[in-house]
Amino acid sequence: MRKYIGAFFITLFMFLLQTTVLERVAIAGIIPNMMLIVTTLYGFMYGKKEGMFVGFLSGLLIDVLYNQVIGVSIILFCTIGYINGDARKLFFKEDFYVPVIVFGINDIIFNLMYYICYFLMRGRVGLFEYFFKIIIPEMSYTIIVGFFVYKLAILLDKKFRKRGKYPINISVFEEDSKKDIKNNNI
Amino acid sequence: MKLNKRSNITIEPKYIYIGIIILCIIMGILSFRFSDRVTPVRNAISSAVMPMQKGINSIGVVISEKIDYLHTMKNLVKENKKLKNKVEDLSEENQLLQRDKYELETFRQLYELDKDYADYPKVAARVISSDGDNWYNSFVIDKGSNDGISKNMNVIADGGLVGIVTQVNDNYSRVRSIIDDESNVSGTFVKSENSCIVSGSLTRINSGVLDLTDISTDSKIEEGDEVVTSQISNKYLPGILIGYCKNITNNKTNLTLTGELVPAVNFQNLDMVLVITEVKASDDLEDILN
Repeated sequence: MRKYIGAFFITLFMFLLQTTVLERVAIAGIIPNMMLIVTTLYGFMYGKKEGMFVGFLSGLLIDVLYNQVIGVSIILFCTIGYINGDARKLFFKEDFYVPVIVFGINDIIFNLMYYICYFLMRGRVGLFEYFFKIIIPEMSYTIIVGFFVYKLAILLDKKFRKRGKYPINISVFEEDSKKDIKNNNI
Repeated sequence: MKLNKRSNITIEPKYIYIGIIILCIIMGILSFRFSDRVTPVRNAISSAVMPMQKGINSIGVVISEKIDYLHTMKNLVKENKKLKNKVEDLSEENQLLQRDKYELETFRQLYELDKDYADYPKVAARVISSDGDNWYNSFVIDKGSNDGISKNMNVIADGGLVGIVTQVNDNYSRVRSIIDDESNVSGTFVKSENSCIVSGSLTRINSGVLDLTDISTDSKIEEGDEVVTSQISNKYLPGILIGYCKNITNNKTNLTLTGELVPAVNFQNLDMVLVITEVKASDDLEDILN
């Protein structure tokens, strides 16, 4: 339960950050997708359910406050959370390129779905133009910001895990935790 | 939840995912069909989130001011040198101009350059947050129905059209700007009185222009002509400056002219806007259209 309350506040904070502060420091009119970063991270680090929970919250906040129809963003974000629950199995180590690949692929998937749901349905076809003007810049920005958020998340995760405050059954760093347990036993 | 934990029965994520999707589709249909009934929910959530957004936004303003400050510092030193030289030239010119000034004032009265829309009742509002993604260009202002704002009111800033109020809640409302991809405004050229359509385009936003379409081929338009909102629009009040035309060319079909429009408002740093609290009286027309 504690985990979900924590996730709620982190999501809310990211939402506030994205809609206010980041808009002011946008580079060439493009801002990183913080909601995507936090959804991806939760799915990636903790599992499908957690990813979907955060995705649901992110989508709900955006839909209720900014969109006419409630539901489309929720589906998009939940899908991202769900996919990343699977992606978790692919990575075991704290590699440099992991966040780069994860955030890059996720941002492209998310924006393609977004394009189909909101733009293709209105008859705006030129996908390539949108791809190079919106998706690629947003992806690179998201990767850069996501990299630092990822490192921060790992630090926080380890800290809470050692104190035993943050119950995680299976984490990305399964190997590490096993080593910890062994060392303690000896 | 507790029961599940005790008896060790957990629902598979797959089914939760399918459940969420079905829930979303139902919610989507309901919220689209009964958009009025969702407003209290939106109000409740917004009244919780809004104060936080306001608070954090003030931090954002400080940051952007600091960035601007550093940016301008470098330029200021360069400018200072240039300006000192200019001051000497200008003070000479000034004396000449002083003489012409009296003449000019009389001309101004003749031309009546005062814009029509100075007479509209207006309410000032602050931009508190933006849409938060890169696909749309709408923003939220801190005035709502409690301040007398209602749907379809026009929003202006710097003497030009900014957009239209699309969603109103108790103490905030959402404005779709004219550079948004979904926005279409019918306009008129001030000089030639030809009509045209100004539509926002996501692919042209970076070059700072909007699309200008449906201009009849026999119209005489010069580069830089003013485009204002037209009488025939059913949502926009007439005579509000939209921008200046550019690069007018023949369409592929040779039936209409198309071109680009440079908006009169700088959309980069929109902080304060004015909402015209007068809705164009076209309720009957809307009923027919719907």
